[in-house]
Amino acid sequence: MTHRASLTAGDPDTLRVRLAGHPFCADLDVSHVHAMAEVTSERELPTGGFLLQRGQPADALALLLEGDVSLEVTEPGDDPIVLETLHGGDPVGWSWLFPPYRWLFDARCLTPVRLLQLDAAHLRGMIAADPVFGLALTQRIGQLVVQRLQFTRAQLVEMTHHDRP
Amino acid sequence: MGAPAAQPTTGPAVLSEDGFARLLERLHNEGYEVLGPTVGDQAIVHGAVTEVDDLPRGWGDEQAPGHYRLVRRDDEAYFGFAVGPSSAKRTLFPARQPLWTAESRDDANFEIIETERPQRRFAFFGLRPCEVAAIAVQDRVLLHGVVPDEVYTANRSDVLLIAVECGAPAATCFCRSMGTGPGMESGADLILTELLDGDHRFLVRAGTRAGEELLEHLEHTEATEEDLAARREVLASAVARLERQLDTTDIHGLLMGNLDHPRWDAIAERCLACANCTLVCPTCFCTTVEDRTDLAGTWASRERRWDSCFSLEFTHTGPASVRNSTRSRYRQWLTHKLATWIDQFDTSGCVGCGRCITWCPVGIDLTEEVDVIRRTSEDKVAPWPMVPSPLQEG
Amino acid sequence: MTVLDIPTQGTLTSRPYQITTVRHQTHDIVTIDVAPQQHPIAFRPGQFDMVYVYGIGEAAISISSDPATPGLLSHTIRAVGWVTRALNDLQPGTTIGIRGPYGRPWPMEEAEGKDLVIIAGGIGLAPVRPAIVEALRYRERYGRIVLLKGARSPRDLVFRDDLDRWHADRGIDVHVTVDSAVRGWSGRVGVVTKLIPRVPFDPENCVVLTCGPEVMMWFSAEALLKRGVPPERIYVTLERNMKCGVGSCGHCQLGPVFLCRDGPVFSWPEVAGLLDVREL
Repeated sequence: MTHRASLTAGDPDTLRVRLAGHPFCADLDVSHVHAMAEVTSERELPTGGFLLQRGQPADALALLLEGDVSLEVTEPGDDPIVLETLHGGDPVGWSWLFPPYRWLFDARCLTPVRLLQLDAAHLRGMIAADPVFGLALTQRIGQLVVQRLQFTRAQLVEMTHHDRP
Repeated sequence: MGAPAAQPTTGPAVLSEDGFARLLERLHNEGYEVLGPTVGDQAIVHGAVTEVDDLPRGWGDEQAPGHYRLVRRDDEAYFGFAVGPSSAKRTLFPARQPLWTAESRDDANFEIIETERPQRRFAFFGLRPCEVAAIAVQDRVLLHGVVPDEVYTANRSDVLLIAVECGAPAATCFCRSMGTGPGMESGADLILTELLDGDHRFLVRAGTRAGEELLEHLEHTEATEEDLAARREVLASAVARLERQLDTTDIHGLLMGNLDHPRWDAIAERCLACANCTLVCPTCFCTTVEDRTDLAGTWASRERRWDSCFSLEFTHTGPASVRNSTRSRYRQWLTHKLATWIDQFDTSGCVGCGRCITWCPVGIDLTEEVDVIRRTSEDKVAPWPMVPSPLQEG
Repeated sequence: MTVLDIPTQGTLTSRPYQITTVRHQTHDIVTIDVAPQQHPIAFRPGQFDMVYVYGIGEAAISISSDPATPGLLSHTIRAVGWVTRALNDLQPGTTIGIRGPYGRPWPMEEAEGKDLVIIAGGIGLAPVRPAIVEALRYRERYGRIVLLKGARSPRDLVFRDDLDRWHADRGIDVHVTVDSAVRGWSGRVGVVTKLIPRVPFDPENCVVLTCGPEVMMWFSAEALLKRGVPPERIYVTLERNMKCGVGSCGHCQLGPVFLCRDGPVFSWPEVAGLLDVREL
């Protein structure tokens, strides 16, 4: 990933470069990346900060640049149950794409985190307005969901599997 | 074996009935334990043969899928039957084999006492060509494997094979398909053919120098053209009586390309997973071990015994078995016998003796099953080497 | 199937060895050490022994110690069946029977000059531990050395001392992940296969050793192939009910191979299709 420290976080050129360099955007059409960059901002969160919280409106797609995030649920009086950890290069969240646009899990920062945040309302508008872009983005989210589901199934298999001596 | 001097040089000879009896005598005199066909448990079984009267003279057998009966013949043939349920395997690779014992010295320590394996001389008398072929298959597995099996090697080290060509194949036999009979040219020390036309006599050919030496000590005559013609007649009529066939053309590809054929389900509906086929099979070699102690724990033993891929326990790994269904266990047996045996030992595991057909309590016939799979095969590829992964193709 | 020239003792008779140390790795996994001064067992990484408990029976157990010190032989055992449960309860000073080594080892020579990637799930770290120890001893022979270690939960992690030591070792890149975290765990949560697309190694010039539950190895192989690792560079080690160790008892057969004789280490193309056939 390229870091151009001389440019400010809000600089559209920097955002384009960072967005284009993120694995989520690999092989996306340049015009689509540029369009996405228009609704992107860069954020930093401290350790313990929440990227998303259960029940809150799902208003953004987050693309992690650096840091570790724990996707988890809490049971009152108990430690959070960690479903998985996500790391630099991972996208976080797809509930913004589907009604009722609410997060189902918490995403908590395990380290300081730097991320690109894409505004969900705008993304939904762009998907509705441009079917080609819409297909490209929803396919990508579809792949992400499938991959996470496969990992989760593998995790389930391993947790129930009696591994052998 | 291998040295030129070991090759026999004499031609076919003829033994009279008397000479035949002398052959048996001679084997005993040379210190062999002679094992041959005898009548026992209403079947032809391998047993000790001390004189010709121990042989099943005048007995024949009637075999069909799930059916075996001894029948009286209308002649005095010594070898007027096909094969019974037992085979040389019972002697060379016994059903129970003590491996070692151990004695405890105190609560935490023990000493292992190796089992002594006395040197024995076995002469197998009256083996059918398919049975000689079965010994050759077991040799490949247990004698010439990565590590020679110590029990089999000890029992096999001083063995004489006296074969009798088959003039009485049963309805379950298919030796010709497997290239193991009814006649044979080599593989035994002596190869006999029982001739019942005219004078009851035996055509004898030496297959090794040891066989030749035996023959030299017996009163015999040179075989005449009539004797040789009589042998050809015996074999021709045996061939004519062979009812079953197994088409072995690319049998490896056929079976391994059809591991999910619906026929396996159909077989599983009949198969009782009783393991009879593996116990009567002269080449099946699977074993398990049993560990025992006395109650006080002062003594422990380890014994190897025949096992069968038809048992659920056979593939018990970790918390469960790998082959839970009868379908998978029958498929394992048949594909191993006819296909993967070739990968492992460069030979088929089947000699076409038909025992598994006769002794199957529900009469499952592997020749029929293979035939059905062949006729309904979808020409699929065996699951290795690996077919390209869909992921690789993008 | 290539039969390699590897050390194999043919005998069916065990030799008695006295246990020197018992190390409890987790609630159901122990490492048992013996010091075979009189009859050292020379082995290659990935080979296994048949280990006998007096009066109870034998189990096939991978050797987990350093191949360079055959005078200290370790077996790491998870309590699953009668024999392995008995092994978990043994005390130092007790005699066990051992015969071996058996089986085809990891392709350490093939990995020379390449990146060495090791993927281990659960107790699967035991059979690859000798490979890691040997690769670090001859560090210059390999490119990057990467260990991806997965466990069900932090309390199921074996060889913690080694993992700590390797974490500090610049010669090896260690990534540990658990399926289920507990209090105090600050590391990764998720399947070990998730690491495969991201961890730095050269997919076109590497050898991968995987050891763990068969499904884990299958998922790993798929992820490795997707990353561009040639299938013949992916190695797995398989487990079945092994009784004899020399391919003569028939129990560990998988299609054309006997795992004990032709494996337990196989390249992916040798077994991939077989693993997809149910109940083979």
